[in-house]
Amino acid sequence: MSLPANFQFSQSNLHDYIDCARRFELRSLLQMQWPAPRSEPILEQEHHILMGERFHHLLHQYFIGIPKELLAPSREEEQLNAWWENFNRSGLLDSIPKRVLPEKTLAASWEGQRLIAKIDLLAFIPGEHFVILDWKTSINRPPSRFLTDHIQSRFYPFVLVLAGRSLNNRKAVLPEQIEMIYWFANFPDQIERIRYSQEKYTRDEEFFSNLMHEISRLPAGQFLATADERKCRYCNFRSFCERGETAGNWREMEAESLGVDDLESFQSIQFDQIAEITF
Amino acid sequence: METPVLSAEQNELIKMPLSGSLFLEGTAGSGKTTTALGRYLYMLQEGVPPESILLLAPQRTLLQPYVQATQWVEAPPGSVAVPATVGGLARRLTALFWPLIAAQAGFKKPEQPPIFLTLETAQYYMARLVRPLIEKGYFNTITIDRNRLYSQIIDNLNKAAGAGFPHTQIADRLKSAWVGEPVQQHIYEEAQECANLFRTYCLENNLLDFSLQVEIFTQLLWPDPLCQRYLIEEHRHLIYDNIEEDIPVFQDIIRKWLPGFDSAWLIYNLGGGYRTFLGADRMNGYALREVCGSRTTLETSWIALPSVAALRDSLLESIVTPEASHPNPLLMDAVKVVYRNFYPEVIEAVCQEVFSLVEKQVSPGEIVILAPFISDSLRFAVMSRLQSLGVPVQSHRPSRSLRDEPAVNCLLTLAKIAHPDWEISAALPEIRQALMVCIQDLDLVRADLLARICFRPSRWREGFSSFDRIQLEMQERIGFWVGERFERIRRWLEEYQVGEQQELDIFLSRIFGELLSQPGFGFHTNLDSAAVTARLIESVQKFRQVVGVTLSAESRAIGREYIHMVEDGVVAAQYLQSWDTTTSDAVLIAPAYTFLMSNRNAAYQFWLDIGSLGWWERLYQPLTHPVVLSRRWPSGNVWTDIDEQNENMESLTRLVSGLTTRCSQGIYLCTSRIDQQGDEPRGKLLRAIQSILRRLPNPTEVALV
Repeated sequence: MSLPANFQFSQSNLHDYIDCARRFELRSLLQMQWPAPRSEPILEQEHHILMGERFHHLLHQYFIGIPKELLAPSREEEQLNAWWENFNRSGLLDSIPKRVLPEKTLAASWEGQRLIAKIDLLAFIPGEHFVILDWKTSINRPPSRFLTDHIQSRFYPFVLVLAGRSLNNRKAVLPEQIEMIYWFANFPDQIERIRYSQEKYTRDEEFFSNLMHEISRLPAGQFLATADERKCRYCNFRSFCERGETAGNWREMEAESLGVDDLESFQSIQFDQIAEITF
Repeated sequence: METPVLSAEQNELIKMPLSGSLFLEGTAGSGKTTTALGRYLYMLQEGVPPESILLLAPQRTLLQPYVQATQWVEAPPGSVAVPATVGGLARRLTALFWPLIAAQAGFKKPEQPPIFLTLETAQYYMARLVRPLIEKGYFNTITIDRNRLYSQIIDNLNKAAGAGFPHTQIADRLKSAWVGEPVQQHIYEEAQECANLFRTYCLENNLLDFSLQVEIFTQLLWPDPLCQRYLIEEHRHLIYDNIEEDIPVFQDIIRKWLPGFDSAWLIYNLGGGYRTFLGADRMNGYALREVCGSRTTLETSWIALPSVAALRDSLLESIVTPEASHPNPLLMDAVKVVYRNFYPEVIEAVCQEVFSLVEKQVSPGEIVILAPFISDSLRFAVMSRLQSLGVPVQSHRPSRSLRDEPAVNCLLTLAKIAHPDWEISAALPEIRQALMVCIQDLDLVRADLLARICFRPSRWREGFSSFDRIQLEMQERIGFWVGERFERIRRWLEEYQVGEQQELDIFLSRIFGELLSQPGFGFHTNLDSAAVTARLIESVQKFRQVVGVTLSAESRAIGREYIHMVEDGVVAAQYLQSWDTTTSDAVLIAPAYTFLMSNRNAAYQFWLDIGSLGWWERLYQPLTHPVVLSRRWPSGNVWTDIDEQNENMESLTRLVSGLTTRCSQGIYLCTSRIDQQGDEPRGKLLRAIQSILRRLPNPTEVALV
């Protein structure tokens, strides 16, 4: 089937496709709303996500220049406080370039498709070093191998190579200049640094090209549900696909993923959709 | 992206230097937005970083072309421009810079995050504060639905913030313009007291309704050096479309901000200003023309045929001076009249004519059916008839209530049964309806039998009794397949009640996923019901997240409160959808203003009920006033019948002009001899049309359908 007009590939929808082509079709192509729980217990998970969102917001405020002393969360917000303390103690900022852009969205057109990456923080020295930072508030710290192979670790640097020219005095950003850092709020000392390279870029070029061609040429109805039915326990479409009734536990899901603090991939409902409609 | 055909004038504008400011005006269909999109693409091609371009409009639907532009495959690589409403920008900045301004704004818990209210949650809090006052006798001299009363008090706050005067002056302004019964003065004072109470409550609890967001943005954030630096450094270029539809304080900020941009385009729709009832100020928007370095008007309409233009001009003249108008005979090519004795006959004729247009290869998406208001019965009548004719149709009413949806009623009925401690009984008709929605293919007769036998209204707390306890003969009559599904519902509810009680949104999500969307049940593969359920869950979830803490402190169940609010009509679950009407290639049925605000065109328009006073009169709003609470009303002046007459005239001409400039082929004028109330229609629009028809050289040649 042809992709909808203005369709954009993101790490989130590509991850969906790799996990389950059917889920990708329902969520990203058909934009179907199916309000069944993804995992349980919902309230506990929701709280965790909201805290993650607050933490991202807090760091955004910090990086746009709001004084640190005005940002400390109230004492009642223990978890948020702990993450904030961890961040301040981590010394992370000493190891990255000083020029920073928080909540930066980059996009590029490549092989007739639009690719988009939403980066938590981009720290860089033009012509020298570009660091993509991603804040993770997951309760587990995934193994390094898992992170290195994860689509996010491939997609973000790839898009930066394609789209970074405007940040680099109109010169192409070289793969060797790029580094991806995952910083875990619950494991502040276990920073994951992944260097990008020309070799990885060449590999990713082929990988993303094949993947996007495969998706854009797949006829409707040929987006098959995953053969690994365990994944259906954490998917809201399970009843639509007739793959079970009850949702799995989100903590178990976290153990097998990058965490649920990725709101873009987690929420089927966009909470902020109505906020400004009043006028 | 399809490359639009551009005139030499448009191309010249697009390639203007990337500095200075331009005021671009023109009527609808003159190509302003197309030119602005061309300009946006040109800026990207010239190497302007996309994130430095601010794309503004007063309403999300008006931003739609710009949202699509940011996703163009042709766009050069780099960062992404973010289209925004000024309101959305205000909210984002308030959240971001909250620690800097919370205490200064008077919030009592500045160390805690802000809570942004939706219209729904604002109405809920207003209801909590005002209900005790109503019980004391406030507003007892007026007859009005409570939810409309609450929304008008909120509206007053929004209008004060939008016009830029203190909310404490609302009553004084309304009173000074009033010349009727003195008792009304007292009503205004009561409305003022409620507005003050609400504002105080918001400040005490970190709640931000729209009015507070506007005030914080204009009075604290914009003047703040850090915030202003952030805005000015971030955005070097501006494209601001439909400035005439925005509120004056936002237009004022743009006036101050203008010198800070490298380049700025302000786009003004001549004949626009449809959002006056929401506080828009087209005159103040037009005044921005004087501060722009250059000004251009796009004159040519790319849409309307000369015959449609003739109809527009003749109509506008006839509305103002019906007895002295000189209709242009050219209009006869653009007009068809649908006239029947009774309204249902008009509906039938309209549907048949739509069918006939579609048969002649007119795309359904090029046809709109418009009326001043769209009632449920009108919506149902038109939609069901067109569907029976095989014509795709969509309706759009921004305020359509979720509680009008059968899927919502079904879900809330099941929620009542699952939570007997909420003490909200379910009635037999609700149960019957819920079973029909729940169980796939269940007809009314069986649903009625099942409801009567398995549910006792007098013992509603006990929920459903088992199908297995019904006599075998009756089981057979209802159907064992029905019984099997009914038992699954009953058992699911029973098991739910044994476990820990869940929040309403979680209950709804679980019953949807675990039961109702499973094979054999009514929501299975029913995408419309799923979408409605998603909206309901989102509404409840938002309600819980905003008011949950307040209610928990009072040991009140959130779900119970939500259902009460919906049933009382206080929060009518009016979970606003966007004003986007461009979703599919289907005939659109919508209120006339909704169509105008969606900024789209249509080849054919059907104007229903042209004799209705709704085309002319504004809504009855005893607690507010769109003009008196605007900047243009001189303080202390009295609002007279002449003012009312002039205002209605102005609104009608604007509406007619807006509709006709968005029509390319023809307009069907539809009316009946006897209207829905059994009266002979006599509205101003009808009289203007009659006057035109009478004065045409050959009135009998006007096409009748």
